[in-house]
Amino acid sequence: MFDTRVFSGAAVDQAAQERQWVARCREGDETALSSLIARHRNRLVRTATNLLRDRHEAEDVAQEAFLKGFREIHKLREDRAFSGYLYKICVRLCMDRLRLKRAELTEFDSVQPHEGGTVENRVVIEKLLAQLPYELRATLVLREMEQLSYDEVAEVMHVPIGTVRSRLHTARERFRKLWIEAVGE
Amino acid sequence: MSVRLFGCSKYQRLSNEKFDRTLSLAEREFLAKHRSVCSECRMRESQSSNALNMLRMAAFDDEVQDSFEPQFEERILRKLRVQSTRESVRYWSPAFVGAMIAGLAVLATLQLVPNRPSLPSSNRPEGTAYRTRGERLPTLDINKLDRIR
Repeated sequence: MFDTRVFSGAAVDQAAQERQWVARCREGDETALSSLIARHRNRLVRTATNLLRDRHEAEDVAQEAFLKGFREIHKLREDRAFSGYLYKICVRLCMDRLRLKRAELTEFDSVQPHEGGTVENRVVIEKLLAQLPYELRATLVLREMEQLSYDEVAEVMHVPIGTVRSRLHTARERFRKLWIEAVGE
Repeated sequence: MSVRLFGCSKYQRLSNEKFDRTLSLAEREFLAKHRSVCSECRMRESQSSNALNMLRMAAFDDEVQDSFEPQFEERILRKLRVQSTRESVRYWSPAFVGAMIAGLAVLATLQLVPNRPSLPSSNRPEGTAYRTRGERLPTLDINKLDRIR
């Protein structure tokens, strides 16, 4: 689904190139593997960082997603579907970690600040997101931070689009309430 | 002082649905009209908008790209090599174990077979030259030859 958008010019070349890389990967070509990693790692690490709010954990998840993607590359029916497939693996791995993290947070309830421009804002957002159930959190992040469409969120999370709508509605409302409590608006 | 009016629930439903679909003209007009008179809905919408804006601003984007672990790619390739070696070992190990068991079975069979002549002496074909341990060859005595003559 992620690659079915209308491509033009350079994007078409990129798609064709990616198909070649995937085909070469199937034959065990390491140069093609490196090229695919270089192309997709930024997006995967960024998404994982947004979902997990931890840079190092995000890199681990991205690596795990690449390993799983390459291991199962033979199962792909369409070479052009690789990027979406990889993205789905990454999001699902993040959700698995969030599910485990939720239990940890109830015990320790600690949030580490990150480096970056708007540190205070990020720390507050991180604390607020940590209070949401992982399905709501992932849905909200994928829609608002990753700017995915409803269809894309539904596909990545493997749920019907109606569920995405209702989760987003609940997530926005709960996030608003948490935000008001935090900032005292 | 906040004022809550009739139609607030419809306003909330539509203000949520505007993210999912394009609202009709009548629905947009209703939202605008209700917003102008209902302070509670106005405040709620403003809070929601602020919260979501802060959420979007907290997103990590391009800054992530500049600070990768230097061995990111190398680590993946190394793990893939280890993984493929493990898989091939896992694939071939039953064959190796089977071959080893078969080899051991052959060796054991060879050791257990008694080491004796394959055929009894009575069964040997006539004229076959053989030599057994301790059997002496006939010797030629010259004195006996003279006597014969």
